[in-house]
Amino acid sequence: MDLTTFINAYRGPLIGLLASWGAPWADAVEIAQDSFAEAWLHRESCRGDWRDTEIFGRWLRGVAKNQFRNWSRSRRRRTTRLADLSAASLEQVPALEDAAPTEQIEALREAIERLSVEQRQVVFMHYLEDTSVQEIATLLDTSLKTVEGRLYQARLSLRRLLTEKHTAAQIGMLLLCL
Amino acid sequence: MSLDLIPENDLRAVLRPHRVDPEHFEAAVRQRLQSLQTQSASDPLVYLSPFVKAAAAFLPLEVLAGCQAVPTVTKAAPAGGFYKLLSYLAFPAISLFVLLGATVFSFLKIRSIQAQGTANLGDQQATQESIQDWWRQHRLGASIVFAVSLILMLLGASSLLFLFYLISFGLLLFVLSSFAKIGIGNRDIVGRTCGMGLMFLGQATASVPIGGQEIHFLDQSLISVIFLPGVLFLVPFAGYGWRASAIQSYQPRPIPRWYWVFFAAFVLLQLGLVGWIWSLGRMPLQLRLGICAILVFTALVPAGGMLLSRWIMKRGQWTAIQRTPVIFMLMFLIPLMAWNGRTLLWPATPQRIKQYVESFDHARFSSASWASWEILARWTIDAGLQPDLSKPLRLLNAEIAGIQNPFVLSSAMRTGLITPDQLSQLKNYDEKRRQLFSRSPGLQPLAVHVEQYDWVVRTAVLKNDLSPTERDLLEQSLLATLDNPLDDKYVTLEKADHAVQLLSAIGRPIDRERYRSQIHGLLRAFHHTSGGWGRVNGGFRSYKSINAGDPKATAHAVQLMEVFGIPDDLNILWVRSFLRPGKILDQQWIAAATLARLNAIPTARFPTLFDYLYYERTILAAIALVGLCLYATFSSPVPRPPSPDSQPCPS
Repeated sequence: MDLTTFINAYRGPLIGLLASWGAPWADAVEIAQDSFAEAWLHRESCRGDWRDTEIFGRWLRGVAKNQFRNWSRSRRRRTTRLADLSAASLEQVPALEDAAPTEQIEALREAIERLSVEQRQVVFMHYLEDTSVQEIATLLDTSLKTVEGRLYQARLSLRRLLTEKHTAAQIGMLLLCL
Repeated sequence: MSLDLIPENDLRAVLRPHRVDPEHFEAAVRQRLQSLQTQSASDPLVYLSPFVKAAAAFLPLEVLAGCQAVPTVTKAAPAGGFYKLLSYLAFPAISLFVLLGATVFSFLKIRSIQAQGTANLGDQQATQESIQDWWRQHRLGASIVFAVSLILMLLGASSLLFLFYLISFGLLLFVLSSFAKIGIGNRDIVGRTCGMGLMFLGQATASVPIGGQEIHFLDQSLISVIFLPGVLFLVPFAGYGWRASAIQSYQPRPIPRWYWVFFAAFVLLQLGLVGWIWSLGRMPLQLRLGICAILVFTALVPAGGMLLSRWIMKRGQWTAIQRTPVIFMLMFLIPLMAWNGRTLLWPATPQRIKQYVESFDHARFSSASWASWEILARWTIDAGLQPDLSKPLRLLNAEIAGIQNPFVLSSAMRTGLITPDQLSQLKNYDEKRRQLFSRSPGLQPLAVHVEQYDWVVRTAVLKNDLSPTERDLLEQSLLATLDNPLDDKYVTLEKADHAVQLLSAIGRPIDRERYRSQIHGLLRAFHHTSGGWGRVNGGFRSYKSINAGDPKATAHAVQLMEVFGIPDDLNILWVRSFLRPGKILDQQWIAAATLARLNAIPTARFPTLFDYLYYERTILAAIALVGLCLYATFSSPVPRPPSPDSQPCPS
């Protein structure tokens, strides 16, 4: 097993995981890169055989957690220093968009933000790079069934959230017409 | 309800803008990796916590690194504030554990290399010099640490001392394991450090009476029994060197002649001891067997050690084994552990107390030995153990045929050892009886000499030789002892206890309600809970002026409590603490029998689980310390052979 194999296996879900913890996407990418480098450098300290993809995945998750914690602390200090910058403005890091989002996509993005943390987590991890459920389960230290269940519930919740939104808009329109 | 799910393609479309280019991502990871590796090579401490860096300022890194560290490693940057404070806390353990181990093992290594006449001596001498430098730089701090340790031990504040070392050692192990992760130090070094520290603490706790000023329910010698097995686990680290240089240069040496001479002398000594122990007829058989087994085992250790070292050398591994220190350690540790663990191996059970009572055929200290035996004999009788008193009876017959010590006769009378047909042989009875009643009642003679006249009164009772008037007179005289006991400077708990017993013997049992407050006052006055070094607090004094508890006086105090109850404000846990196992000779039996009497008092408070956890915190701390040592050692990485580009020790 070489570094490239591990990066290809865990890149997408790790960035998704970090984003689900609250890191802006650009920062999540940076933290993920740091985590891969750190985990690889100290792979001998990993409990068990690091060549096993699953064991390395768990090790990577631990390292990423520490990296995210450090990033959070430094962000807090930065926020205190830059008091005039609102938290929201720091979060609004432009995404690498190649096309303007349609209204439907924008609505779905908002709905994803309203999902529970666990559901948002699996959505980010799975659909960012179409990663298999196995890698996600490893990173989350949970079972395949749990991940599949969360994904299903997430999609169901999203449909409900979007339907509720449309219904509310339609009622508003009706009221305006009256 | 319809199961209309959001299409997966829509979700992919939402997240597509956040996807990264795999090649760019991997390139960025590799760039970071290269940067980290460069930093790590130039300064291995860079990723350590500020506390570890601060503690590193105190550590002789040349010793830990085994002279394989790059020069920058030794430039440990001291930190400030809280981290510096934490590193000061680690200092005691550093000076006690690391440096002791380093000094001893470095010396042994030099001797070994000198004997082999090989190279590498320069490295070891440089290590030795770096240790000496450390001592010179931190002489004041190390002296303070040793002085504080000694003072705390002498003051009896063992809990505080152990807490101090536990915190300190915990911090040190954190530092050592952090260093081990970056290749400074290894399992050998951590193991030797831990082993040496545990050895020191094990010996200190074995030789210094600790815990005497505090409440404990267990024998505090067990603390050393906890430390020493930890040393046994770590003994292999004292015995061999992993360094490739040492292994390559090692040439097996023949066993020196002095070793054989020592071995033969040691075996002879052990066999002599076995013969002597076996000849002690008064000692219970199981105890004799146990001690002899330990002695034989200890005698076999050197032979076993030699065979083991030959076997190891034949295998071609660990050729640098230092068999001598390992064998000496085993020879020393096993008997020490057996001695300090005697309360676990041979506890003072009722059967053993009964055996002791039955084996009483020689009163080494005359009336004093009889007084001790009496306490135990009465307990075995009261507990329904039905001891066979034929041997004590023979001893009594010899006494009756001889000088007839009044104190011995009183003890024998109180245990019911004198039979009615022997009464006629008591030659001084008539004269003593006359003296007893010829005195003026106002002088209260019996109050002063109750022990001497006890046998006279009891003989008179057995002979039915007391008139009601004489009984009245005796009652008044005995009660006078208890009326204002604290006014009498010669009053003892023994005297009060015997007076109460004698009142029952003459058929005038004491009014418990009336005398309760006086007796409770007496018990409070004699209770001893604070004293100097080397004394176990919590017992009762034999005399008011003596500042130490006494097992016999405590036995009488508990017998008084059986009659008058336990004073409300007397902390019975102190008494339990005094009676804990760990005493030697007949005192261990007296303590065990008295504790059994105390437990039988309905109002006697038993220690709760919380009491055990709180008052035995020293033992818990010792267990934690040993666990910590073993964990730190076996979780540290195994030593690796030095790389060709490693730096030699600065000389």
